[in-house]
Amino acid sequence: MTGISRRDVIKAQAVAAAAAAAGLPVPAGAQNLTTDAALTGLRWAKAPCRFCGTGCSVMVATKNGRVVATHGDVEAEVNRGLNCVKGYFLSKIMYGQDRLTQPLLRMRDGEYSKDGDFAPVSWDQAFDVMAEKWKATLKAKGPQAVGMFGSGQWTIWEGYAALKLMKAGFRSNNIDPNARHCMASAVTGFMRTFGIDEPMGCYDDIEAADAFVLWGANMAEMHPILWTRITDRRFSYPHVKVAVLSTFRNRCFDLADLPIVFKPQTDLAIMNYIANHIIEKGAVNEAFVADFVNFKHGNEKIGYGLRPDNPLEMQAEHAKDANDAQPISFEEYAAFVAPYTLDKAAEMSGVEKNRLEALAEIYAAPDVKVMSTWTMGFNQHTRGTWANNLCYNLHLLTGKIATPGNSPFSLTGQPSACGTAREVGTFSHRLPADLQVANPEHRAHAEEIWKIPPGTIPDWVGAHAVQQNRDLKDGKINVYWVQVNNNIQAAANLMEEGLPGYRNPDNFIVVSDVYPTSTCEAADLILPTAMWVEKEGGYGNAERRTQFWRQMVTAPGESRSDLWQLVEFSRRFAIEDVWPPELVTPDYAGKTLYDVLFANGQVDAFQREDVDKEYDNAESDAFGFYIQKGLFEEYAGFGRGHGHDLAPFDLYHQVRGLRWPVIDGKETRWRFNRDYDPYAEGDKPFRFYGHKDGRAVIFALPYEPPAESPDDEYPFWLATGRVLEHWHSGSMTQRVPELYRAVPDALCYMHPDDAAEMNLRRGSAVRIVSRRGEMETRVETRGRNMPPRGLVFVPWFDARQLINKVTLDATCPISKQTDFKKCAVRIEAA
Amino acid sequence: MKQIVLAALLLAAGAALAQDGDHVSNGGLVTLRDGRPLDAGAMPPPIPSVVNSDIRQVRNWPEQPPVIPHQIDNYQIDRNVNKCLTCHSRTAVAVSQAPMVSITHFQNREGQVLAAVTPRRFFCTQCHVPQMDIQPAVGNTFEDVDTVIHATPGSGTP
Amino acid sequence: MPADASPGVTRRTLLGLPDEGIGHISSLVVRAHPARLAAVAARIARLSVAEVAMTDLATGKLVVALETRDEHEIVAAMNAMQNLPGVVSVALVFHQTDA
Repeated sequence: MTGISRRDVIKAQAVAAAAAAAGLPVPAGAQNLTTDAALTGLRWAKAPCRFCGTGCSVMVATKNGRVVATHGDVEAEVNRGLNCVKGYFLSKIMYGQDRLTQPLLRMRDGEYSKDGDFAPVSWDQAFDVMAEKWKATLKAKGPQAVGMFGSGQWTIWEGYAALKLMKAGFRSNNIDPNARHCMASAVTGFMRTFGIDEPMGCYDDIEAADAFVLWGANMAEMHPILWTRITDRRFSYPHVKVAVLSTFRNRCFDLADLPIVFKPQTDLAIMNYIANHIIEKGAVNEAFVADFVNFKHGNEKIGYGLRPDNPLEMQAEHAKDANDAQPISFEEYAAFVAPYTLDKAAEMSGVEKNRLEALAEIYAAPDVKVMSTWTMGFNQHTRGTWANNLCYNLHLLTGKIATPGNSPFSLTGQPSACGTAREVGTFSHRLPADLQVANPEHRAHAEEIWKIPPGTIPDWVGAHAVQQNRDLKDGKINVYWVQVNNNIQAAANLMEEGLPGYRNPDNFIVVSDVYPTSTCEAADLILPTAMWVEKEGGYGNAERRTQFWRQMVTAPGESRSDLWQLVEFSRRFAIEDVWPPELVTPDYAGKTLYDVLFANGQVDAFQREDVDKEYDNAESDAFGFYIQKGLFEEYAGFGRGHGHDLAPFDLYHQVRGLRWPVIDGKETRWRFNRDYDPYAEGDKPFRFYGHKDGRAVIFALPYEPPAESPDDEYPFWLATGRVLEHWHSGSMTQRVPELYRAVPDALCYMHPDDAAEMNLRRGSAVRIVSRRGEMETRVETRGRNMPPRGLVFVPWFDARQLINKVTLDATCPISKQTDFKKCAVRIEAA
Repeated sequence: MKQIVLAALLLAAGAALAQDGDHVSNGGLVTLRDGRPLDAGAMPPPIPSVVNSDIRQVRNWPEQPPVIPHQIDNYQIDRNVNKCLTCHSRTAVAVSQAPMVSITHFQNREGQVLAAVTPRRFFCTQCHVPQMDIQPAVGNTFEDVDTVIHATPGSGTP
Repeated sequence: MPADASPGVTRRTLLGLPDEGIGHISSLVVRAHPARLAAVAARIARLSVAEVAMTDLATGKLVVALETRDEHEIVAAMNAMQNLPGVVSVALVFHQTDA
């Protein structure tokens, strides 16, 4: 608010007072009170926050077709009226001045051209070009050349429609979500340990725990409302302790009783040490282990998910069977962890022994209920699956699991990585409700629900996120649709893989987005997309809570929701265009792909009139039926009765979300626990029913080094991450003036002694250089993140500073999730 | 210094042409990168200074947490101390004349009013942020409720 | 300033902010003959401390804002306005010291 002084303000008030006294109309700028109810009447409706996986609920006020205010929803269990700064500014995220409102196609001389300039086209023209490219590619190279990169920020039905379009329509498994970058290791961790995805506890564990251990989760900035619940618990009950582990000091350390900075990757060693400590101190819950645990030794030397010709991959004995494991006994497990002594752990991690011991005691002490949390520190890790497994080991050895307060809790980053990507299964290897494309029974079950011929769903595992970029570069994937993500800014190793892939002349890249992003710059066709409360949606948060919202305002210009785009696109294909003749039996002949996927008697089962008359529904208008409900109910059919029960569609619009499995309208707070979970049948207090024998698995897994560590040429660790004020790549938050002005630019957070040694200070211009690329930025030595010597931190929200030019596309070989926290760089004065 | 000037010139040239023959084409699309091609880099501007005027800003809607109109460098907020409350607590305002934390800050999860600031609102900077003294990168067309209500003919709104 | 604060201590001095100069801001409703409204408005505008914020032809009312260094100047401005041809009455509505 520049240019207006306090003096002006008081003058305006003075004028208003006099005008009122004189019975003259009060000037608009000086109004201080509007009481006419018809004028002040706002429509308030609930919605989950657009941002993180915490899944706060907000109340959204609309007036005359615009969002005018939001606040934290006091009726929501998750946040009880609180938001974080991003949530508090939700009202502004749709109103950035450069909203995309028309499809844009690169053209030269009136025709599509890969090197042309973007020109506005109609939706018809856009879909014409797309359909032509898709059909040509299918004909020339088949479904393996078709790809899609979707999102943990898709609504549930958007993800489901995309899944059907790809797997049942184009018959390609090359669909993967950006959740591959954030939660894949958590998923494989769950699947290996428990046989079924997602946390067994819920946020209620926070109010019951005696100790919190943050393993690689900067909750103060990334899950702020959950942090407020932990803060509340810690301050209200003095016996509660908070331990924070990180490779650099962050804001969570402000609350920590036990702050721990450890050397990157040594979390693996620390956890094995704690397991050893538990065993040696006799703190193993032997009854629990006897009834509920099997032991396995996972394959070691599993490589780093790099290209196969990379020497690291060629040396890796078990690169090809990274996920396999052999059964062992408890004694063999105890012998396996025995070398991880306190001395060894301290030496490897650089952490003082007394701190490691105090940490171990949190787990070992029988009466301390402990909640472990983690997000990217564990998941974005070349041994991310192992890290997840190793943490579960500690909770399983002690039996501290699946009861209030005892909770290994994998925090989800995105608002619907759970609800959409994981539960709907929008992965290259998956189908809904944890089913897998590699399993013939699972495919048959899906084909049955979808009423499509047996053999339609492809059995080959498709390309995951990192593989998709490599396949684009190599010209194996030639038509590619990106929705609700900014992967040119997110994916590691931009210059060697992502950018050449998108700009490969053989490839046609379509990007659906709300604002012009870095990824749009690399695209060939940009589709303007509706966002958040411009469409009816549903998300599922980290504690398995599914939450819905209504369409409250109209999307601007020609922009349309991802759902509309996916379904409308399917109309362009005759079934003969996408299925081979042997699948096109008389039942399907002559139909469009739209008919088969979406007008199949199930997705179109609910009337347009069923939509609540208070609210608009653009997609239902377009297609003539209540499409969101139809998609949801068809999708829910996969999980109901199989441990993934969702409530009826209409119920979610009435309540502040429900945690699945929802049985007879009742949500489940603690899974696997007989007292809370209807699926935990039998006479024992627990049943880990993801495995047929009802047991979870403790894995023997060693420390293995990262893919790339600092050396003489590149002496610094680089960790990347986020900041509180910006969500992900900043495409929404950088367009909110207050958030932009809070943190406008990325910075290189560095230890002041490291800076001094290089003759740098706060604000110095530097270049961060790796073997793959470089980025210019400025030094911060006094910021919210205080790295130890030898490590720098750079956030990735800034389109002007693409740190992913520098990062390495090494992954956990099991989960295929990129390790964004560890690579080697050098810092040069610029 | 010379490199920075050179980079600035290249940036200006790039923005004018919207694509440089040696660089990846961005098709003329203007993003937050201001026309600079994806494969080009440039030094970001110097770290801006923080607005330190003490002047309270209009909130866009009543529930918006006000932005902090002053510097908070080295303001310690941890389990031992909360520096913000030395001016903004209920008892400090007579001397400091700083606005008291709002009544919402005294309510617990159940909505009950407590005697002191609730722990759930202890970390001020989760909701309140200072502002750099710069213009936003992109405009925002958000209209507050008064504007929307009075955007009708005859209301006298400019 | 609050009654119980010590004299001379303001928020601005506490925080070490520069003194912008204490000022008084006030507003008046002036009633004039509708036929003379424009002329009255022009004469008032020539007063250095005054600004005509609003006029209403139908009722002959003007809203005038004043920025003065002290109360005496407010009284002087009111007297000047009262004596203008066409002015029926001048009433002080709002007065605040900007400290």
